[in-house]
Amino acid sequence: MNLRALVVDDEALARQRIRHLLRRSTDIEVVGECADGLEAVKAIEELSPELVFLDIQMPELDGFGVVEAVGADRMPPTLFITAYDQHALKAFEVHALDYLLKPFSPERFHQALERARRWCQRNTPGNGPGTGPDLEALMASLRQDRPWVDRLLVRQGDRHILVRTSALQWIEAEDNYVRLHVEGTSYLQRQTMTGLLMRLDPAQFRRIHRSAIVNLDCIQEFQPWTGGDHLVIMRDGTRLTLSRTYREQVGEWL
Amino acid sequence: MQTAGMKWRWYWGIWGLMGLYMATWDMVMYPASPALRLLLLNLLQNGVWGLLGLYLIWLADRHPIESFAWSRWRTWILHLLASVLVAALGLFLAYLISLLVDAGWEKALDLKAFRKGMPRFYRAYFHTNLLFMWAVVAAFHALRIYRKYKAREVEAAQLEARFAEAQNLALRMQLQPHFLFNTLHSISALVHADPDGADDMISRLGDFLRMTLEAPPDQMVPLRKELAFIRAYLAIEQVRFQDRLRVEMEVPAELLDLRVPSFILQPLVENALKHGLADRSRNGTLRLGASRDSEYLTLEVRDDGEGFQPGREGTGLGNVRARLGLIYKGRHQLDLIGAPGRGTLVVLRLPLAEPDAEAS
Repeated sequence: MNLRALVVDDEALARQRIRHLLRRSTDIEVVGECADGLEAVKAIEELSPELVFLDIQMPELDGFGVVEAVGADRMPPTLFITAYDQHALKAFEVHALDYLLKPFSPERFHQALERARRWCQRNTPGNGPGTGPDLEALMASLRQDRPWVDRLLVRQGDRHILVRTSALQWIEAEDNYVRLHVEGTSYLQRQTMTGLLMRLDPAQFRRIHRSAIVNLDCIQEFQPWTGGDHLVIMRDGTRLTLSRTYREQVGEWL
Repeated sequence: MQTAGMKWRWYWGIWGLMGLYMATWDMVMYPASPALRLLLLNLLQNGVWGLLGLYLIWLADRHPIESFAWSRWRTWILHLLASVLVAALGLFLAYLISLLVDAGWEKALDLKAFRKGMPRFYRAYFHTNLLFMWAVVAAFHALRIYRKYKAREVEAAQLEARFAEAQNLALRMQLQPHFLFNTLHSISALVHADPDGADDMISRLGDFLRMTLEAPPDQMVPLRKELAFIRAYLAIEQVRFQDRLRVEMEVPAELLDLRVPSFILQPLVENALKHGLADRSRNGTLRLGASRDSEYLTLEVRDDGEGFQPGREGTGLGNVRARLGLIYKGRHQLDLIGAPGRGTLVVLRLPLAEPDAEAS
């Protein structure tokens, strides 16, 4: 069988290295190369590769950011590559994930590739449930150690946009979605308020209502309102409600 | 505060002991006099001298004797005159006290008797008293030199520690494992695709490692040397970034022998790459410039990345600031100017007068 593979690394020479090592593995076809995380997310969704060689350190959106953006459950079998990241390595060990350390030898590369081939075969429909690496567990444990992100990847149609969390003004709940308000425009993202709040730095973001999270830097004033609620006036004029239930969230100022 | 209090306790303690010592002397000389009176007399006299000594200390604090050079003769003369005057005044008061204690007010205020005894009193005690006053001035200077020496020792130790830290940082951070492993990985790709390029890269890495490991123990190196180090570092980064990194260096040849703190530019260049260039996927340009005027050597590192945001200084920059502060004592300038989306400019202005030359 032929495996369709994607190579993701911000260094051209590193991508070249993988292509070179794959030249005799005729069962693997490199369907694309990406130089950053954003390209990688797009390529994974459009090309649906069966195997991804993913460098962890990349500008803007790193390797874990790619997994998060695609969704750990929808991420194809992935071989992580890193030069040095003791943090990630520990997580890999804990979750028994194979990874490649730069610089790697051809033997080591082919050994890792062999393992990846086996996961891919098991994961093909008809071979029963996948027994590949548990990406979801990996992401969950990484999240424990570095809980807050400074960029969010949002989808607009077929475009992907990286939003700096510092540019987020406030976030509104809409059914199963959240609406991110960013400097005059807004993006709809499929996510829960609780899930999103966990990824945002509590020094900057607080929940003020069942359906609103605000960036504290964007608040202009609080005004007492009826029934213990407060009116929150944002710098851009937006009026939000701080409900009594969430009042302790901003207790230090009221 | 506690040490200042300690100092004065010692000062008065020593005068008190002098009083006791001289009282015992008097007791031997005049066994007929009541011991208690002699004790009171001497303690009072020494107390008065102690008070007058404060003036000499105040004067020495304002006009300390800095060296034994002939050019400082004015200060020596000042202290000599002041101590003679203070000793004379001190003896006058001591004489007055002795008359008061011995004979009471009436006799003390009898001008004739007062005049009669005074020359003898001065002949007997003036030289000893002058010696006391000199001892006060000498003790003050000894303490002052000791403190200065201590402070300099602490400062030197701090400077040494910072320097060691900088060297360590150069090894651990700049030559961070990331940098080293990524470079080795790039070489393993080049070996097949471009053997000559790989060859080149290995020697560049060799140059870089050699310069890091053989860093001279001196704080200050010629700009030439610092730039060679930066070049070796950038040569490697350039291969790794390939088309993404462009480097422009504009350093006039006549500035190359000016001395700068070693490893001072590298954290700045690394920051420019990390925040200015590496954080964008496309091309970036790094500009390094140097210029001078009559007082300052100005070094500039400019990138066209996302722009520095105030309040986000990292450890590399913190270390640079701390080292500069210790070396130049605030006579330097380090400014970061960031324009969102248009890059960051780091301007470092170093005084041309060598810090070492001034200290000695």
